[in-house]
Amino acid sequence: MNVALGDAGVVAAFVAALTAAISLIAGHVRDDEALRRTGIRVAWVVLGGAVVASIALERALITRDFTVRYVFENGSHRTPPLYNFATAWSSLEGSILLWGLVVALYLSVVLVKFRKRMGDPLVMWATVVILVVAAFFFGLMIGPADPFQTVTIPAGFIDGPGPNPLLQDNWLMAVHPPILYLGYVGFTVPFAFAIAALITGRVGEGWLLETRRWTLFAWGFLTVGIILGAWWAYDVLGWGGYWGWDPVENASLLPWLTGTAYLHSVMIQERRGMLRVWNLSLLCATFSLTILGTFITRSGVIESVHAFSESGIGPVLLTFFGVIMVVSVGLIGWRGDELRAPGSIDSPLSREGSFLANNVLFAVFAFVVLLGTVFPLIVESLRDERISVGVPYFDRMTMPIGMALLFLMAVAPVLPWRKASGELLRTRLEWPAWAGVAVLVFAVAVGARGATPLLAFALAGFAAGAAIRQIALATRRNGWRGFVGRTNGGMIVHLGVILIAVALAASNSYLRQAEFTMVPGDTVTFAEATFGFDGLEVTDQSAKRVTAALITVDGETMRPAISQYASGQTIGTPDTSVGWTRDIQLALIALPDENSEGVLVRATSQPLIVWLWNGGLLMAIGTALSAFPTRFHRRPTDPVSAPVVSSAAAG
Amino acid sequence: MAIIAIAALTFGTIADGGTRTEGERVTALTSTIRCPQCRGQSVAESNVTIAREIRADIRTRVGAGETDAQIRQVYIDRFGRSIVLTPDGTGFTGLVWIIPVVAAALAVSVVGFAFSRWRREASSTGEPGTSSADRQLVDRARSERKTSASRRTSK
Repeated sequence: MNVALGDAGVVAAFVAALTAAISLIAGHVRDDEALRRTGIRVAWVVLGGAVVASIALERALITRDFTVRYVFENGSHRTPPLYNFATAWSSLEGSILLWGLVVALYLSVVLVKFRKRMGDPLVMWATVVILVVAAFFFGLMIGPADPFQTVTIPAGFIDGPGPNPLLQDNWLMAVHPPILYLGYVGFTVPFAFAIAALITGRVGEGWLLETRRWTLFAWGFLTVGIILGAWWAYDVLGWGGYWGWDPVENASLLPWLTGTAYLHSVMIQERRGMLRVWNLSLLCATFSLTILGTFITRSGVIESVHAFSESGIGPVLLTFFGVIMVVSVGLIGWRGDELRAPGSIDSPLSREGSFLANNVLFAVFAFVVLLGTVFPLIVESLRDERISVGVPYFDRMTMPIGMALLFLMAVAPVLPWRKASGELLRTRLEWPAWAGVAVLVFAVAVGARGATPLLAFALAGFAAGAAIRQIALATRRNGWRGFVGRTNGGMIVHLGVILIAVALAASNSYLRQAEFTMVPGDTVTFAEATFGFDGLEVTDQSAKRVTAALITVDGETMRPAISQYASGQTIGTPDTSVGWTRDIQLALIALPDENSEGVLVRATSQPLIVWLWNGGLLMAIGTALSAFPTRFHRRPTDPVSAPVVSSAAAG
Repeated sequence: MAIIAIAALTFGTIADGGTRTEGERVTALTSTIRCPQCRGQSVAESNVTIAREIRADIRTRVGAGETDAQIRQVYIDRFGRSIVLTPDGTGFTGLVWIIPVVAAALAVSVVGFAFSRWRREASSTGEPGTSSADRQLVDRARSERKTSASRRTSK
C-alpha cells in the first residue's frame, strides 16, 4: 500500500513535470494558449505527486512498514515520534524526496505568484527550468535513489536499527535539514529566471528585480540552516566545536558564499546596469554548487574516489552538474553581445568599488573552500597518494579573507555611489573608527590577548560602528522605517555577521580543554571553575539507556551522558552550561571499566559561544527586514542623486 | 586615535607572553592529527577510543618535552602522510597552498585592469561609452519623470 502510493506519487510527479515542460514549450512555439494552459494545470500535479509520495514515506515510517527497504534500514519501533518523523530525511533516498518536495513547493508558489503572467516568455521559460529540475530529482527517485524499494522481511526479524543515533539525540536535527533545503533548493527560482532571461534575451534588469525577494528568502533560510547545523554539531558532538570544515559543511557553505556575493553585486547591476555576465555567472555557480554539494555529500566520493563507482547516484548527479555548467556557460556565451554593459565604475573608492572588492573576496573564499574540499580527491586520482586537508588549512587560509571582509564591512556602507573624496570618508568614518578603538581597548582591558583576535575585535567594532551609523541616520530620518528596506535590513544582517565574527574569534582563540578521570567524591579545578563528581545515574528510555555522570560545576549540576542504543551503538550526550560570556561543556567520554574505575570527562570552556546563535538570529531578522517593502521605490531610470518624491509633496 | 589603537594592539600582543602552555599545545596539536577511524575528523573532535588514546599519547609526549614537529613525525611514520590534516607545503601537495594565493592575485589584477581601462575610456571620451541613442534615452526618461512627478503634484 505505502509502496504503491509512494511509487505512484513519484511517477506522477516525474511524468507531470516532463509533460508540463513540453506542453509549455510547445504552447510557446506554436503560440497555442490552450496548450499553455494545459501545461500549467499539469504542473500542479508535480506538487500533488510530491505530497503523496512524502505522505506515503511518513506513513510507512509511522506504521513501521518494514517491507519498505527505507523503513527496514532506518526505522525502528523504539524511535520517539518526532525523530521517527524526521527519519524521512535522515538517509539518502528520503533526503532526495525532501528535495523533490521542496522544488515542487517552490514551483507551486511561482505558479501562483506569476499566474497572470504565464504568457510572458520570461516567466514561461523560468517555469520550464524549474520543471526540468523537478523532473531530474523525481527521475532520481525512479532510478538510483528509489525511496520505495521493497524488501522481504527475514524470518525472526523483530525491529529495525532506527536512524543514526546522532540524528535522534537533539531536536535541531529534525528542523535543520528542511530549513537548509528551503535555502538550497530556493536558489532554483532565481537560477531559473536567470536562464529564462538568457533564453529570451531579456538580459536587462527586469529579471533581477523579479527575483530579488526569492533570492533573499533562499539566502535567509540557507543562513539559518547552516547556523542550526553548527548549533547541532556543538550540542551533540561534544568536542566544543561547531564547525569542522567537513565536506558536508563545506557543501552548504559554498552556495552561501557565492549567493552572498550575488546579493551584493546585484546592486551594481540594478543601479548601474553593469556586471551582467558576472551576476548571471554567480547565480549559475550558486545553483550548480548546490548540485555539486549534493554530489559530494551523497555519492560517497569524499571517502575515496574508489567508493565513487559503488554508488549509483554519483555519476548521475555529476552529469547533471556538467549539464548545468555547459548550458549556463553556453547561454552566457551565446548572449555575450547583449550582455556587454555600457558605463564604467568611476573610482575604486565608491559603493560600486567596494561591492567589487566584496565579490573578489567572496569568490576567493569560495574557491579556497572548494579547492580544500576536493584537493584530496585530485591528489588521489592523479598521484594515487592519500592526503588530508583539514581544519588547520581552512582556518589559516580563510582567516585573512575574513579580516578583509570585516574591514570592508566597516568602510563600504559609508561610501557613496560613483566616487568618494578622502575628506568625505574621513568625516563619515570618524566615529565608526572610534567605536573600533573603544572595542579594542575594552577587549585588552578585560584581558583579551593575542594579535589575531584583537585585530578581529577592533575591525568588528569598526564595522559595527558603520552599520549602526547607517541605521541611526535612517531612523532619525524615517522613524521605524529606518529599520526596513534593503540597506537598513542589510546593516542589521551585518551586525549579525559581526556578532558571529566576534564569537568565532573569541571561541577559537580562547578555547580551553582538559580531560579528567574522576571517581565519586573527586573535585578538580579547571578554567576558574570547580568540578565535583557525585556519581552515576542510569535511566532507561524507549530507544536508549542513558548513563549520566552527575557533576556539580560551581553549584550547578550538569549531566553529561553516554547513551546506549538498542542497536548497540553508543554515543555521547554532552551537557552545556550556557552563559552570556562563556559556555562550559562537559562530555562523558568513558565509563568505568576493567582498566579504570573512574569516569573520563572532557571539559571545554569557550567564551561568547552564545553569540554565534544570537548573531544567526539577528541575520535572520535582518534578512526579513530587507525583504520588507520600503514605501518609495526609486525607479531605475532615476538619477542616483534624484530626491525621492515623498507622499507629502505628492499629496 | 591611531596611537591608542596601535598601543592597545601592541600591549595586547606583547603581554600575551608568546609561550604557550602545555594544554594549549595539546589542543593545537590534536586538531592537526586526523582520527584514523573517523570521516575527516581530527582527534580533537572525535571521542572514539583511538582518538582518545592519541590525545592521551600527545599529552604525554608534550609533557616529556617533545617538539610539535617531532610528535607529528611519530604519527606520520606510523600512519602515513594522510594522518596530518595540514597538507605539505612542498611538491604537488604544495599547490593547495599556492593556487588560492595565485587566484587571489589574479582576481585583484583583473579588477585593477578593469579600473584602468574604465579610467582610460572615461578620459578619452569624456563620458564613457555614451552614444546619441543613449542621450535620447536619458532625455526621454527624464522628461517622463518630470511629467509623472508634476502629475502627482497636481493631483
